[in-house]
Amino acid sequence: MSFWHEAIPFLIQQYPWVIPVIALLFPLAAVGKGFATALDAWQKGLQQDFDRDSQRYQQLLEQRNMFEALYRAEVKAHAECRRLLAQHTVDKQLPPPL
Amino acid sequence: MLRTARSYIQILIHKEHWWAEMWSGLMLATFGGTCFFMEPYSLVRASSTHNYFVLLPNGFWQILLLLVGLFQIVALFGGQRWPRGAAAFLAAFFYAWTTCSELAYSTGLHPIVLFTAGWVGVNMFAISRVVSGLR
Repeated sequence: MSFWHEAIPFLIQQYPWVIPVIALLFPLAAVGKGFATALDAWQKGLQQDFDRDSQRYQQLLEQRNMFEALYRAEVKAHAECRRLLAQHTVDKQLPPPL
Repeated sequence: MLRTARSYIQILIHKEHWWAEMWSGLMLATFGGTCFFMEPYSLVRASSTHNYFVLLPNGFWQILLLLVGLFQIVALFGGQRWPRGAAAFLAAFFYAWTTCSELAYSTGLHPIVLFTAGWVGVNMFAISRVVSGLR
């Protein structure tokens, strides 16, 4: 005879209240499962919010960089334009005023 | 008429777990009520009801089972969330108690264990649904 073959009848006879106590563990486990499911849903929601917000943030950064590059290109074009204008202006070639 | 039948079928489909809990309550109340009118000697001999006699007086536990089953039915018709969860908790406890008693006081695995364990599972799912607030 193994240990459990003797221990289980002994336990049942000496402590019969362990049976409803064990039975109580089942609905309690279901309560725990419910809380775990709720917590899981909440964490998933947080993660979704974070993903969505981080995506939006990345989009804003990319937009900012794009507009900055556009601005720099425009500044460069203006400077080039001014340089060419200065080069080809005839006023510069006139003699100084008397 | 046809519309009524279709809506009734839709209610049946959408309230699937409602019906599972309804059957659970009906079975528990029937079990308690039947055991109330049975000979105590045969109930003591039965391994699934033996442990009730060890801890509770005869007559009391039958009425307890009957009331819990009726409470589950009433809670289902009430439509409130937490009474339904409390009823499912009590029903799961009593079904689990019957299952554990059957397992403890019998040799081998009687197929009735699968039946009662199924009701434990149904009620456990109902509890987890109520606690997590799903649907």
